[in-house]
Amino acid sequence: MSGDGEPSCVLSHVSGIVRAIGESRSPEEATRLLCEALVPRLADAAAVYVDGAAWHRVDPQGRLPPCWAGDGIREAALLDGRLLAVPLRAYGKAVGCALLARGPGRSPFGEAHVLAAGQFAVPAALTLFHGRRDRRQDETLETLQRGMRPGDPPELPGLEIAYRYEPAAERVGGDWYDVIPLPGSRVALVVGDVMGHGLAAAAVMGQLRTAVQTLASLDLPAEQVLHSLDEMAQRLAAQTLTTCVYCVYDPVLRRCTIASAGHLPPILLGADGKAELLSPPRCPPIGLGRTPFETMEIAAEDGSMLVLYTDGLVEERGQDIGQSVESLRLGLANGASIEELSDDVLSATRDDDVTVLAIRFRGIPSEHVAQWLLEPQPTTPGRVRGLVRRTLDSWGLTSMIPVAELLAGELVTNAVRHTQRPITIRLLRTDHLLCEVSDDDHRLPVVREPGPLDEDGRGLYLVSQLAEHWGTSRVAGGKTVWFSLAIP
Amino acid sequence: MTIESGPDNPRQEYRAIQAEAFNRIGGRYDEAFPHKEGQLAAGEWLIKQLKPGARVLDVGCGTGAPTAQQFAEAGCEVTGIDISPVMLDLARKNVPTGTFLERDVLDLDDSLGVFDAVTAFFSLLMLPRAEIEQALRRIHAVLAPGGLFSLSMVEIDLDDVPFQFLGAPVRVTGYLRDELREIIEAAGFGVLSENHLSYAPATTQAPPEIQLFVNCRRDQF
Repeated sequence: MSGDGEPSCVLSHVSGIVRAIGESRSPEEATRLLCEALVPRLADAAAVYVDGAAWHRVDPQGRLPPCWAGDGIREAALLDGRLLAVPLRAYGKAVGCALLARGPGRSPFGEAHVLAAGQFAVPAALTLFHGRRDRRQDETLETLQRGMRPGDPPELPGLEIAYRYEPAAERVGGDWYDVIPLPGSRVALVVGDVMGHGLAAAAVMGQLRTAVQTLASLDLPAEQVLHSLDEMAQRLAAQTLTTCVYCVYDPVLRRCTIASAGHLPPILLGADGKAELLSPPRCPPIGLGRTPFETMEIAAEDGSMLVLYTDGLVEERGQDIGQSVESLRLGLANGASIEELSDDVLSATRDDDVTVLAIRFRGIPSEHVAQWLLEPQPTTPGRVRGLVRRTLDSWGLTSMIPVAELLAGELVTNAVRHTQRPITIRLLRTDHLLCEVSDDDHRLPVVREPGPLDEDGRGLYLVSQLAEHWGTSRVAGGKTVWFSLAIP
Repeated sequence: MTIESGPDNPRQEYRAIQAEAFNRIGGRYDEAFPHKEGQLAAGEWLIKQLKPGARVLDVGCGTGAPTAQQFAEAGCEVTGIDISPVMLDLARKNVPTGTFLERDVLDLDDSLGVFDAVTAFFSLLMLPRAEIEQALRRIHAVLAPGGLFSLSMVEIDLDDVPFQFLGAPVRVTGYLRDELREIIEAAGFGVLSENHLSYAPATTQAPPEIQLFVNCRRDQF
């Protein structure tokens, strides 16, 4: 290279290095191999810069800068006799650059050195280009997959949640689960399974999951959620079948309604340890269109547990699905935990997503709930303030009375203004105090900061300023506006 | 005294609609409200003060469970009235020793005799407020002086408002507790004790409610 050796010997050396760089498994390895090929044989120091920063440097004497942007050079060129710049270009675009330096004790770079360094730069640039593009694509994919993957369920009063979500491959699959808080301290529980695996199923899952979230937030009855989901599925994901089970648990009434679109039967594990296979009305999967859905309502006794799952938890090659569900039921009846049951399945080789969502019903004692219906009249806000006072007093929450009665009165004042039909007010004591005011007006109120001359619009502003949390939800037949206060 | 004149009578029409709702509800009522501790306690309060063979009237007896049953088992002579024939049939089956009549509380008169005690559990809430006040006076009239009266209502501030109850359309009425006490006292009863109970029905077809139980005594005059 420095003029020594036979041409074939030089060529074999160059081709060995080019091949090694071309075969490197990462951009980092490629830049390292490039520097190592250059030093000491061709130069005393070498560095590869990407985005202006040194990715790799072999520079014992510190001859090269830590950062260098490449100065727009398009071909390998001598900056001076002992400093050689080599652009790293692929597909007509700069991906980085390299600097080579020779010390004062060595002869300056010659034409051959410029050509040789340019040769080495070609595979390095290609590897860098592809490696970095792959990495960006991976990151994009991961971001999307993370975004679609169901997150940790929220902590809610009246229930305990255990779950496993293990897609067969990637980070996300066609399975999903959701735990969605609804007004009245109710909660929607969802497990779904889009037919197929991997990204194609995940893409459909992401859309259907969002659709279910939206339908749940409209507080539609379970059978209507599935019906509307079925209609949406026709538009969003034609030719795809999905099974889904949608339950609504009411911890005050201790009831659970269940609707199933062709999904595997939920299992109810009683507080006494008996495991029962539930059979909600048989309805076909989502995606067929125009099918009526029906619900069943069960008593959700405190301490009992509802187990929702996908076929990945029970499907075994060569075994009847009914038998597999039965062995899951037996496993639960024998006291196996969700973790143990999932671990058993996950330890075996599998090609399906595994999802299981188990909800232990804890209930809210009825003495921690107070609910009234009132006809809207000018005197109603005052009456409600009285009810709040009386109730908080009986709950031993005297210190909360001033704020709670003020805010409840404001919400009722708004309701009285907008409806002629009875207003429902509910007080609920859990680790927080929740106050809900519902009326039959579907329009959701909007909070705004009142101007200096505004007499109206201060109620919700007060609520937004003084409540710990507050919100509005659509409910069957109207809306609910609620606030919660921390119990001191 | 009004003269009732067939189906054109608005009160009869009103009752017919309410009765039809309860004909439809039938046995589902006891499924939705399986826990009746408050009602049983009120019955117990009466029984402790009644002599065996005492005459008890249950206004809006429904299925006869648990109140008519409770009095029959305690050896009282029970008469139940209701406006729903379906409910009355259930009551006759549940309490074979009782007498059950299809009768509007506003049509109570001395033909049934004088009673030592009257109960009206969750029945007067089917009447508009103006008629509840009349009903209380009728009950006062059939009760012996000093006789006992136990009443339960749901604490709601509504007067004759349409409401879906267990999937059937009804009209409901109620009072907040202070006003309920006032109208009871105005009808000539002394309130002896009150119980309030937060209650969650065993169905999603009816909301949680606060039940008010008021135990009273008819004034001596």
